[in-house]
Amino acid sequence: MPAAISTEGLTKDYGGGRGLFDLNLQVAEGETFGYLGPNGAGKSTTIRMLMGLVHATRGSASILGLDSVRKSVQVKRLVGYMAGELPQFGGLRGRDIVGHFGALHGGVDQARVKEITERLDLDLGLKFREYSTGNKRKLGILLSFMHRPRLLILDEPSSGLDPLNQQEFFKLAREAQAGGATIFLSSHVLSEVEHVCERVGIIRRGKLVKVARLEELHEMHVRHVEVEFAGDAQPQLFEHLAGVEKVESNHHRVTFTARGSFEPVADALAGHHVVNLASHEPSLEEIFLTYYEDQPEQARA
Amino acid sequence: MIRWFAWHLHRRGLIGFTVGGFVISFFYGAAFTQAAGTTAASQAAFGRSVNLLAKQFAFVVPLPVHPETLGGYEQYKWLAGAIAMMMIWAGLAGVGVGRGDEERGLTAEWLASGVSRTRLVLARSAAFSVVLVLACLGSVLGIVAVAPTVHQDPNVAGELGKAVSMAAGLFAGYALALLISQLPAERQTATAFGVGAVVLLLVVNGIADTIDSASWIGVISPFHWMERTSSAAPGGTFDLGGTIGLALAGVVFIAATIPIFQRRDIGSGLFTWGRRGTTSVRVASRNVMLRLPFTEGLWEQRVGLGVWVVSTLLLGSVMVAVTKSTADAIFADPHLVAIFQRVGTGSIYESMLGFIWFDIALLLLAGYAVVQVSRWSTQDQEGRVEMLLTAPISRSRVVIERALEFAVASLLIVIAGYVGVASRAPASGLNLDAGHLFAASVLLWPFALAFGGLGVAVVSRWPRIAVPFLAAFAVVEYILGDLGPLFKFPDWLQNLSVFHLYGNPVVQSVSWTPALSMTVIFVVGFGLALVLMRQRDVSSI
Repeated sequence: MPAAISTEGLTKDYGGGRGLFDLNLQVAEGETFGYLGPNGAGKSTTIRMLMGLVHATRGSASILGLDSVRKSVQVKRLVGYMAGELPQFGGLRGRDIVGHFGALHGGVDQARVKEITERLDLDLGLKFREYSTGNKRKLGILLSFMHRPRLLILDEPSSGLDPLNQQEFFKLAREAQAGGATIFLSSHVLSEVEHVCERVGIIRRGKLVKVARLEELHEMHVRHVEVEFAGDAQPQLFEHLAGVEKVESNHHRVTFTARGSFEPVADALAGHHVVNLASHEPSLEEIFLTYYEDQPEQARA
Repeated sequence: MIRWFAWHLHRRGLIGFTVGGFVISFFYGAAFTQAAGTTAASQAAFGRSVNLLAKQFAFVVPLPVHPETLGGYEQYKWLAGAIAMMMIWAGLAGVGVGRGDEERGLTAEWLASGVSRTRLVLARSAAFSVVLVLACLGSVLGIVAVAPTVHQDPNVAGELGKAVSMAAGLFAGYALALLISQLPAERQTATAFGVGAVVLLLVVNGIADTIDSASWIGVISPFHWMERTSSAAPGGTFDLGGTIGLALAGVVFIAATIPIFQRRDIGSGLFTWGRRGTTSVRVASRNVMLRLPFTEGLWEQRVGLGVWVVSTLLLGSVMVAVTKSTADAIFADPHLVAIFQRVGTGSIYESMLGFIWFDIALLLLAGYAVVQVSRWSTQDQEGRVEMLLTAPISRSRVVIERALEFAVASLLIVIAGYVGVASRAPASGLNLDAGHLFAASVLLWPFALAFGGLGVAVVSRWPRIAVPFLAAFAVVEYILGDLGPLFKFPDWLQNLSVFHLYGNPVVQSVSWTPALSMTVIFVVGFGLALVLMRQRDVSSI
């Protein structure tokens, strides 16, 4: 079975270090894959290249075994794409937009449209300019899901939705996956990815820096450690340990992050009077930030 | 910051009209001695001919003042057309400020940042007023610069006076379009009404200048008041009262805009109609126009296209009446008949129709091409093309649909013009050769297609510059067709002008070679568009 998404050395070089570089990515059919990165990291460029909108400087991409450029039209028949932001449709009503894009996909399944609009409580009788941000997102969800695609490429699909509609969207995504669809979800909203995805790729400055299962990320040995001494804090015990960073102390308490094995920390504590020791797993947010720790302002953007 | 943005948003118009106006006025000035000769006697004879003929074209351009002088010639030959062109620009700018900013989300951003609605309107209008003044100065200063080279004294004060009058009139047109744009629910409708209003005022002025019994209606047109200032010509007058009146009218229109803008919702006009019930719609539209290739674009622009078609039909009909009255005036004057027989061919009716209607029809179709390209350009920049290409259609189909959409829409406009003229001519007693009229009307279509072909090519690869490019191209083509014979440019150079290629088929024997040439331009442009669209990266960011 071909991969749902396969890229080999996919590169788009805009110059000045901007773009996407040597992306080698495999997303299996039926998988839900989260594509994480801050603004400007290259997520949208990746998606545009997968959709054949932007030409690669080098490398190639295929969707469900079809070359994304040479077989662009066939590819798009199999894909449901939801843009980060819908374009202006001005005075067109929702039903017109759905009718038009449905026709481009070979016909409208009115029962499916009715089902999704009812679940999302979307009124297709309004003009596009009358839609709120949330309703525009719902329209985007409808346009990408209505023809039951084999691959869903979604760009921050739940941002702008209220919590109820977010839950409905997650249900739709899970149902699509249960029906055999592959989901490629690009986002910097980590909760969005945690809700849906099994595997995550993290992109930074146009380079894929990590691909891991969601559990693997959580299990990475990056821990926040807090040690409370009976006497004065002794940060010097940890400052030179391999994998230990961000050592801070306050009265009796020392905090730091420990990467890799916990054994050196345990050894350092031997023989000292410790009244409390806490070590907790980082959240996905924190894992994400560790990949951007040299430029935290970008990661937080 | 708002002032900087207000300036920034008009930068293309500022550069285009200021620099373009300067260059064109320079060339028209340089053409003066080519047309009028270099001796006082030849210039006086030239002036007499122009004065005699000009009475018959008063519908299109105002009567000349001392056309035997450089300033008078320029005022008649260039500035009259420039004013009409700049008025369309001012109208589009008015609608752009009124509604275009909203559709792009700029208005909401500004208001959210604490800028009041009053300040927003005033800042945008003040910026455009300055842009207008600079553009008008550009349009007259070219002649000041060229004057020494054609051995004429530059009339700096008079030219500046004309520029001020133009700026005041254009400001009034801008403000009127801004006011009108507040009313309809849709931006497209606002564009049609706003620009339609300034075009209507141009027609009103033409009627007032041509039909004595209707001369009183001219007072409502800013073109009338701008015409009253003729200071670019030696001995011309500067109408201070009219100029102040125009500026005041602009101020009043803006003052009227502010309370409407404060009252209405952002994204909606003052008047909304057809409010729907409370029942939610849960099904997709079954509209066939949305399902067939290329008809979606026609359906979406149905209101605007309808305005173009109806306006062309009415204008064609009005022009028949104007042609009849001007041709009859020529028949009544032996001197004019003699002059006409020297410069014209064919029957006077058909020649006049060629000068009056078909010249306007060419400009209308070139204008429609620019408007259509502007629509595609906006769609591209707003991400519509990107969205479209995520559906299972090829890039080639996007280009083909654009070409078909343009071909059908321009054909409808051509047919409307033909129907307007052909249906009114018998009732007006205008004896026209039916075959010539039909052929001349049919040839308008490949003319439009040539512009459309170039437009679709440029917008396929460079959507951001497509509109200024095509607008500049249209102006250069028109001027090349106009000045080419005066400067005795070689045929190959003159044939680069689509206006020249079209010629005057209503009076000349119809040659299908130009039609073929124009069709080739369309096909080449279309083919180029296919290639360029395939090569480019499609992205709204």
